[in-house]
Amino acid sequence: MNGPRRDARDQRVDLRGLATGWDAGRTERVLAGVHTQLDRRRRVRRAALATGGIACAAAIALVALGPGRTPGAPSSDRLANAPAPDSGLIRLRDGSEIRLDPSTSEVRVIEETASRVSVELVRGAGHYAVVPNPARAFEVHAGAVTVSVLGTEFDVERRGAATWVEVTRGKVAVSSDDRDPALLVAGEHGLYPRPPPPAPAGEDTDSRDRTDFARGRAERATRSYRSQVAHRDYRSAYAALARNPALAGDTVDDLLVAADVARLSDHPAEAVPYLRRILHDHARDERAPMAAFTLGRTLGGLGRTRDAMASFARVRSDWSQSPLAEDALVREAEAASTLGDAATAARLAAEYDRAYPDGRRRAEVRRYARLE
Amino acid sequence: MSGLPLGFDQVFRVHAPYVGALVLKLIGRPGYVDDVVQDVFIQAHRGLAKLRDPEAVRPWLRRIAVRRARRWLRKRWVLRWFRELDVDAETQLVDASASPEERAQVTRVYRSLERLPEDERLVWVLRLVEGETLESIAEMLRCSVSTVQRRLRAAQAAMGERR
Repeated sequence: MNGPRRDARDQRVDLRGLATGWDAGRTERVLAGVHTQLDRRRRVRRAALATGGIACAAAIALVALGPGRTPGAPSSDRLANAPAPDSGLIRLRDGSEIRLDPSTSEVRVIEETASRVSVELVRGAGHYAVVPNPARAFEVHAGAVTVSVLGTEFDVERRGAATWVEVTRGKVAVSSDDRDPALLVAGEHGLYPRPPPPAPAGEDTDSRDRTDFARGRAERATRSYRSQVAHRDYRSAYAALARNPALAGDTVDDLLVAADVARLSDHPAEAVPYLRRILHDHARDERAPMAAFTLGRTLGGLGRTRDAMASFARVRSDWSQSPLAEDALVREAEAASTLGDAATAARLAAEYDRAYPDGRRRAEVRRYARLE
Repeated sequence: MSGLPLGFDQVFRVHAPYVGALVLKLIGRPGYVDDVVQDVFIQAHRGLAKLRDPEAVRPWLRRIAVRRARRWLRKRWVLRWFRELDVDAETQLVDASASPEERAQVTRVYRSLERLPEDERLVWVLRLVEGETLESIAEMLRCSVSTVQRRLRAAQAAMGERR
């Protein structure tokens, strides 16, 4: 019975040529898919609970009314009017809560990641209690109005084409037009969009129309770009990005997507500036080492081997505890080997031995250093 | 969300490349890896809150990945029936930087694996490619060690004939 045990150990199959590559963009794409699925399941579960709750309430009401009672008769059983469990409360992963009346209001969670939460008030009103977190942007969209917040409590209510915002605690920024966002602190409230300021002498309504038209066009372009990315139509997304560089955005998520769009539409050189911006503007973000690693791979693919080496070296020096540090060291050794720099490759192989004595890629590194 | 020092998103970012590589080795279809990885982490999402030891995360994800891969392999015939299986799988399976020998090896192995029953295939990959112990394979596939040995012998015989 020990046959296969011994044989298997002797006959390990080397599948080194398998395309097991996985980059930061792919991570974020699949993660977004996981969150979408989890949100969908949550919504279904909530809907099922609400339906079950209503059904239970109706059944209890029927029992309480009994055969001798008329539906209009007063009932002493208060359970009949109890709200369904969990109905009217949306609890987000970071602990923030949204309370609403499900019969009159609807809130949709558009995005829920570590760096950004974005919800849309589709109709009605909602009370928002947001857990403070400076590293995460929290936005509520209601029609043309966007309420941005760091940690506070406030109400947002749709009133026809306008939106009512009232702050209970903390501070929010409300943006609804091209003007600077309005800052509201605890106790303040307002109806947005604000009425347009009186036109200065000489300005006619045409200029306002032109501004509205330009804003509408920008919003349409952003929607179209995001849809192309969601459908993995990277060529069209790249064309849109080339026409309108502002679509690339400023957040890490936005910049990773822009880099992916460039790489996956066969314009790897165009991905470099986006990845560099992440490293420059968001060096403390948890995805920065992935951006540096991807930058190294992209530069390597472009034949800029020395730059690639520097990028892999940065992964190891700036984020030595990152799970990518080992791979970065291997890639750095590979780049040194490509450049014919045997001394550096040997130094990196020795470094690998020290840092990862049981590392699975030891043989590979030693091959780059011509030690095997 | 859990007793671990990392949140779900961070756990995903740390372990997704490993899970992705494992799933690819098991199913051999690059076009379906992301879907299976997504399923693995959706299943893991709830249980992660119960884990206290960061060292336990990877073995636990490995177990889920193997079971999800088995489920995918079992429903493969439906995809084949509807001609949904990606026709370029073989070319996508090989890394662009692979040498001709490495390319030939990967192609040869996966052509042979395609003809194996899924449980034999999983045992073969886990043992001979991943280097898992017979005991851990038995635990992952919820069968006895002797069943794993029997499947490994059968797979080795079939692979030996076909390679």
